[in-house]
Amino acid sequence: MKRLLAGLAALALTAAPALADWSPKGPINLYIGFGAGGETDTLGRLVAEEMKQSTGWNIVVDNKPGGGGMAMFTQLNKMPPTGQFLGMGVTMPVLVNLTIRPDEVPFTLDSFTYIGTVALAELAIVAPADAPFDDLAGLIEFSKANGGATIGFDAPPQKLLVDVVNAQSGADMRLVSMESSAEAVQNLLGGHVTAAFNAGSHIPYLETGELKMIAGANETRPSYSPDTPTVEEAGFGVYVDPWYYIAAPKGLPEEAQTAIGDALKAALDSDTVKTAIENTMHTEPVFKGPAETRAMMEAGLANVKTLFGK
Amino acid sequence: MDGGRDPAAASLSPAAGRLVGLAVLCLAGLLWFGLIPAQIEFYDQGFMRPQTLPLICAGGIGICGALLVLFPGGQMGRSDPREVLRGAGVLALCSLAVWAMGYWGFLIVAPVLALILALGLGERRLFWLAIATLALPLAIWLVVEPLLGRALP
Amino acid sequence: MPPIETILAGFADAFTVLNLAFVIMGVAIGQFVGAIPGIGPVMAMAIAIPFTFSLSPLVAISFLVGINKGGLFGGAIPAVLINTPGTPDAAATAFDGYPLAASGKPRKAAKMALYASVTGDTFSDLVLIVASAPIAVLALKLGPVEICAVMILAFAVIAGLVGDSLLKGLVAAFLGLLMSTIRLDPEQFSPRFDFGYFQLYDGLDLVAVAVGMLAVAEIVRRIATAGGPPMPAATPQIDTRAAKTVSWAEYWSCRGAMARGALIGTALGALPGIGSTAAAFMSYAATKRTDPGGVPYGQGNLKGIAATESANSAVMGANLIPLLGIGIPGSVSAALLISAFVIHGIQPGPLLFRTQGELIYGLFGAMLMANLCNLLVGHLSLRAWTTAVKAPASLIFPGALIFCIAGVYLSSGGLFGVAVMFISAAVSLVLTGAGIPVVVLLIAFFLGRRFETALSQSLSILNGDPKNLVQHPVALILLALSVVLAVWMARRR
Repeated sequence: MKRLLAGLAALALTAAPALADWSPKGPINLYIGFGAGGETDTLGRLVAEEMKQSTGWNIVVDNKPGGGGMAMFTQLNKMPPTGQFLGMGVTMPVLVNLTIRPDEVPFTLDSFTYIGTVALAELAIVAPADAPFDDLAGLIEFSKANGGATIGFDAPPQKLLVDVVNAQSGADMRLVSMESSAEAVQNLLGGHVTAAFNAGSHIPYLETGELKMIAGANETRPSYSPDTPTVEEAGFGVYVDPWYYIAAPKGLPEEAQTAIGDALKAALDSDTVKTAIENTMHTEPVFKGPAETRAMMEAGLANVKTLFGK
Repeated sequence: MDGGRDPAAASLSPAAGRLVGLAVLCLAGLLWFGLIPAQIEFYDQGFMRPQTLPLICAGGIGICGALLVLFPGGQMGRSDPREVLRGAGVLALCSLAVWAMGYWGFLIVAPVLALILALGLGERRLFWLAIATLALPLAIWLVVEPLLGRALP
Repeated sequence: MPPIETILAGFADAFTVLNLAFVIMGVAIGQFVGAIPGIGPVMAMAIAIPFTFSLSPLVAISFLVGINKGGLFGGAIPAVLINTPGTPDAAATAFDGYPLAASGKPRKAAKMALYASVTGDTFSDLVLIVASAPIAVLALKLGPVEICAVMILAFAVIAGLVGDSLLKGLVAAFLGLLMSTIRLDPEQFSPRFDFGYFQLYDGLDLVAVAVGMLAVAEIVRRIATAGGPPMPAATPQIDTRAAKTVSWAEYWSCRGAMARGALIGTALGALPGIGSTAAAFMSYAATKRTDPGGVPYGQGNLKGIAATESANSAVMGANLIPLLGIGIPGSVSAALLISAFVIHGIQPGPLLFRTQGELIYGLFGAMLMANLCNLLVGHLSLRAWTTAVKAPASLIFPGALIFCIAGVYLSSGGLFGVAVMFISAAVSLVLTGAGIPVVVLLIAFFLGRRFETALSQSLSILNGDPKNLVQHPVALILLALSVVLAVWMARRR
């Protein structure tokens, strides 16, 4: 324990003074929209630790799980815009809820000031390496010939994406609900499903040659596999882009927005965070500034509306 | 549970048993006709639809309730009216405490709650009262907030 | 299997003084937090991970393993001493542990729990060390259809625990299943029973419900029934050697219960998502039905304690089988170990064994060391706790309630979880009053979520046609076994 405490004390001492002209009037609370130990939690804590060290701000990370971040954003919306309350979440659950049950959601995109993005979850359709097809067209053919392929998925947008592909191609693929990426990988390795969506935990298995890429599901091709075409490229005109992002309550002063955004950008540029994100998420941190993040949210909402046919 | 570990558990009178069955039957009715349609969006495609398992459960509860009315059985917990009242009081106090914590925070509400409960348990010695109401909540707060850096309400 | 030098080097890395110190510290913390309702070892690990930043990878992981293993026994302490399980998987420990403690033998009861916990844990660790790769591959072959059948088998065995009224047991089981459907449904992701609260989209927090129904309900019951002058929280202890220790003969008489528990725990632990609580109850039910003798169950039978604790502790080691065998975390604590690996720049995944052989064998060494430390630290901590419960009830019960509030607040992320905890306590008291077994409800609630998803997965894979079950012979065997067991248990009643 002594060593631990000594280590912590050393961290506190070496913290550099704030460089920006804005500084919070007390501790900053970074709310995480998911429980302890998940990907968003790990990501948030890594970024918070790095920002703490570079700015000297006291950042307290607090988990507010519920509804894929909806409970957290609901609470964040009620907090004062002093820069002392920030929330980190994922775009998809928010956009989906804003699309399909707008009356139940107590906030809109305008309820928040956007600080920036942290990373893009790269979603792909993968299959066991010995599957008799190599791309989406092959999967569709296989499904038609075998009375319906089974596809593992773990979020509504993925289901809609498959619904669109089914409707346009008559593939008649059946969805199998998974509770996590890890469960999907397990079912692929065990041969229980034909293919499955995955957002990173499959990558090590590409390297061992146990799984293979069938299609990317983002707007752009997967950064780790640039030769894999996306579902959109295959002619279905749909994609899913889950971004991790940080927002604050509406009305945050501009200097605070800039200062926090700069600190976030610096944290994402640091090697520690980069390596850690690569290891957990198998993707690179991507920082988009406030305006770009806001635009990304708008475009995302429009895209989700297309997915849901609204 | 498990052969009635509570030594004071009373064997059930048939009337009381039927009453339990009736209550269970009412609960099933409330679920089937009230809560489930109101709180679940029914879908007519898919294998396990949102309403499938809840309806099975409500139906199962209803059948068991009806059978309990016809064939009452099992044991009942003891229920001395004074104790039931005290228990309800303790729970009401706790609910009040949860609400109050949202306003004034753990550090203020927890000692008050502990004080009331300790007094209710008949404690009058200052030393033990001080430990229960001051030392313990403060110790928890000190460990969680400054040492672990997590927030309490 | 890596070369023998790697194995030896790994073990040598583990057996250092620094490592030992951190394992002991981890075990002590684990036993402490395990004993506090609401904060389990998982929560403690999540809190501890950031503190391990400055440590070397092996020391950090040993520390976390220590916390986890300490917590496996810690949950049993309050279950035995004051009938309020610290973790849900210790609920069945209270069945026989508390009556034994209440008869003046709290140390004997707690020691039996400790020995059984360490025995079950060591068994599953050895299985993990010797055979994780083949077992992981075998477990991989069990898909959703088979998992579904395993869960039905678990239900059939646990049905043996239903008290004297089958109907009331069924009511409890249906209520528990119904409670597990408070969440987004697995196929359409449509919210159910959310009453406008987004927190309910993810379902009721397992810990909040379990702590409310077991610990808080018991605390409220105690406060409600107390009267007259202040009393110590626990029955006075009998001060003889026989009442304070577990003799070798007594330990040996529980060998069957512990073997059964260790096997059930290891088997369920290797399959993701079923969990230690179900394993503990399954083992208790199986032992109760097949291994009578001595004191009746529910009145302080040592075998009841041994069966439960050996099973819930065996789950921990086996949970790491999918992680080390194929790189997939089988439980939340395994996932937390992964994030500890990640923080130290170690890439988890299927190659873990090949690229980090020395570290993995270091981890194995630390696990075995932690078992030994659990035994030693356990003696000290149960002595401390048995002394602590001599304090007046007016301190213990309000104090325990405050601990429950703080613990559930931390682990479920807010006052919402605390409210859920108190509502669960109220429901539990009402149901107990009507003679409906709360523990059966809890088990159904714990298994319900996974069960609904597994059913949905299975139906999709089978395309809704039971005839396709023919392609799943293992599932068919398990289902047949469930029917046989259910009939057999019903006839023995």
